[in-house]
Amino acid sequence: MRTELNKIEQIEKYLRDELSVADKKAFEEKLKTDSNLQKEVELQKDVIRGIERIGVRKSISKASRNYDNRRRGFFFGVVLLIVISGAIGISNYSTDEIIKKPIVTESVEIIKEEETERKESLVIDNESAAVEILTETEEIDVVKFPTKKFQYFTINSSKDTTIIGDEGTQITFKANSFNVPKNSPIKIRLKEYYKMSDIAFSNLTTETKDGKLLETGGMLYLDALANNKKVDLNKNTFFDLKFPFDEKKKDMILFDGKTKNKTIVWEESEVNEIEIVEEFIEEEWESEVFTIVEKMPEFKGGQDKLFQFLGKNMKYPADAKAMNISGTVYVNFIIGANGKVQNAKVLRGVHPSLNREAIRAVESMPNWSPGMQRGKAVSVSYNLPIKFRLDGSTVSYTPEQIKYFSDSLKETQEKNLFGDDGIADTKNSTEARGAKSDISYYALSGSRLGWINCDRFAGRGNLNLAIKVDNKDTDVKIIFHRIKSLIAGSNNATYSRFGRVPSGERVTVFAVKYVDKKPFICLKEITTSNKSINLEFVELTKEGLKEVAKKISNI
Amino acid sequence: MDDNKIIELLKIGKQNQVFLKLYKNYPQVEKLILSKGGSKEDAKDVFQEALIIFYEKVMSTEFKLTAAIGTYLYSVSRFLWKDELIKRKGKTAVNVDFEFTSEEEAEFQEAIEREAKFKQIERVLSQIGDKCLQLLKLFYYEGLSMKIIASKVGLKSEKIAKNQKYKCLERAKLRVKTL
Repeated sequence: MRTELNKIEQIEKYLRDELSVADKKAFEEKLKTDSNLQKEVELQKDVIRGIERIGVRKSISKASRNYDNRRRGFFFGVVLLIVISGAIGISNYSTDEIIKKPIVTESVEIIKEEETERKESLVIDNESAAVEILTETEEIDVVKFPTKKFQYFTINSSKDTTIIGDEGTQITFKANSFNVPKNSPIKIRLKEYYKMSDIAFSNLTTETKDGKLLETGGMLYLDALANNKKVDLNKNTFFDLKFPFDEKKKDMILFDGKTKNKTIVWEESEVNEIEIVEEFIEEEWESEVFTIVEKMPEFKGGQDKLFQFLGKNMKYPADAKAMNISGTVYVNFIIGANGKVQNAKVLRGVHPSLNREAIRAVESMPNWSPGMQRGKAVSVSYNLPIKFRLDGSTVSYTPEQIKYFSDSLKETQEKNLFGDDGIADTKNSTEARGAKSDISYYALSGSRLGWINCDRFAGRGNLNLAIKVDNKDTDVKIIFHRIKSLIAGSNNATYSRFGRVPSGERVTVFAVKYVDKKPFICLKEITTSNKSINLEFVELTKEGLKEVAKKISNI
Repeated sequence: MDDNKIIELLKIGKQNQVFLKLYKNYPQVEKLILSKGGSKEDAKDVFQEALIIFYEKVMSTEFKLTAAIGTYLYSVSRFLWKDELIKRKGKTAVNVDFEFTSEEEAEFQEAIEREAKFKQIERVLSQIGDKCLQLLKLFYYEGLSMKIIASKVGLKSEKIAKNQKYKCLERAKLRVKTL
């Protein structure tokens, strides 16, 4: 291990031209004759280039999104009454706090073992085998649905350890969580199911024991081995779980899974406290104007005072009033490092005189407390919606309105943290984005190994959906478009039935049957209604399988 | 922004700025692909691919600007689309009006092969774990110092981050090796 790392370090230094003249010469001599070393160098070059290319791709798709948005001519992805990108209230979940919490502690082993030891532990797979039923009847030369492989991590039972799965799940075991002698090596096995195709192919569903529909934020199979025997957690011992997400959903809770009829049914876990963790990854940007900073600039006296100020200082332009024009003007401005309001401009206006009045009001604001980044005052780009209403002769904000504004500001601020680029760049300097949330998690505590699911309840409907099948063994599932949910039908000889489905819901039917042990599948998009549905099957080929997986995970 | 300026900016790592500018060449490519049996999605994919090929070309040591960037992007896109059509429909079905000089043919063909190889590499690299990928990207793509990276990814010290970087590289190499 160590020598391997040393070699990597040396190659790295050679590639970056950081070796001393003598070392470089020695290295090049060796390189001439040592074909293994040549290969290693090439491999390392490819890896680094690959990494760079991933970065380039990200830049390109960002440019593509920006370009699309411009072409469509709007500034924001979502049209809300109030849309704001630089907003108030960010310090509530400040960067400081999150950075102080180390994501990876020193004792952590994030490097996991390769999967060479899979075979020796196959013996004890009963519990996780349930998910592989789709493949168990098949022979080697037929097309198989891919199943998840175990990821292995070896930890020291006497140390706090965090493991990170391939798809981003973070699991932290405290020291002495397992009932084993001190300093025993524990092998943790993990399977992660985030993609809908993984869920569907593994015969998992998002249904509880008592038939409630769930929307999933990720499923796991997790267990621990000592000397190739399963070990359990000590009583009243908890481990921390973090499920990464792209789009935040409220009310996520933890479910434990039990094997039942070859599938897994979910049951609400006894412990259920969830915390949403947003990790900020700051990025360096070329220009000095930020959108989001550690401490956002603030109107002196707070946002209530800001709205009061606007209410007091704005007049409803007479011409607009005469023409009965009202609406919301979106203004963007920069709060300089000195707190000064600069460069006010209209992002989306209503009527010229309303736009002018909005700009005038913004420019008449007193200095703000500037935004701070790494302890330094910086310029921050800020958006503000200004609403003109015609119920009185002047613009005024009632306390309810102020509250509504504040809440919406907060809400849209949160939206922005989820990867939306917010405002498209205008003219010169607003390419700058201060920071961006890169990875966010649902953080929960688990007390039981085995099947684990981070979900929330989704309402059911009262439709009975019937899908025609020609034999009882056809496996039929429906995958919802609106929510991340999948349920399986219960079959008799002619129908596969789904009870209590919402009607008018877009779903994709995914059905599998075997003819002469060969898989035939049907993938069909429908809107749920009380009409019975017929399925058309095609034989699954290897290429088809990829297509199917892609389609399902894009639902 | 003129072509030389674009290249200069790319070389000093201002990709974000450059790619957005280069999108002004997109409508032309979209028009081409729509007229040759493709969809808007196809056009988007092809253009993104063309941009990355252009980027690789600029970054290669022997790069010299011989044609206008817009022309280059258009030719690459045309070639990529021809290649895609052949893949989809077979050689005979593809129209004759896709002609290229032998130099172009050689250069683009090489680029396509390289792209195929690196797509595989990128795919396995994206599986080395978010933290590792992030760390490596910050170092190799963003060019940040190990000290800043340590604080960004939540590692206690520069030394730990450095060590972690080698471990991540090792993991990445293992994955790429098995391709």
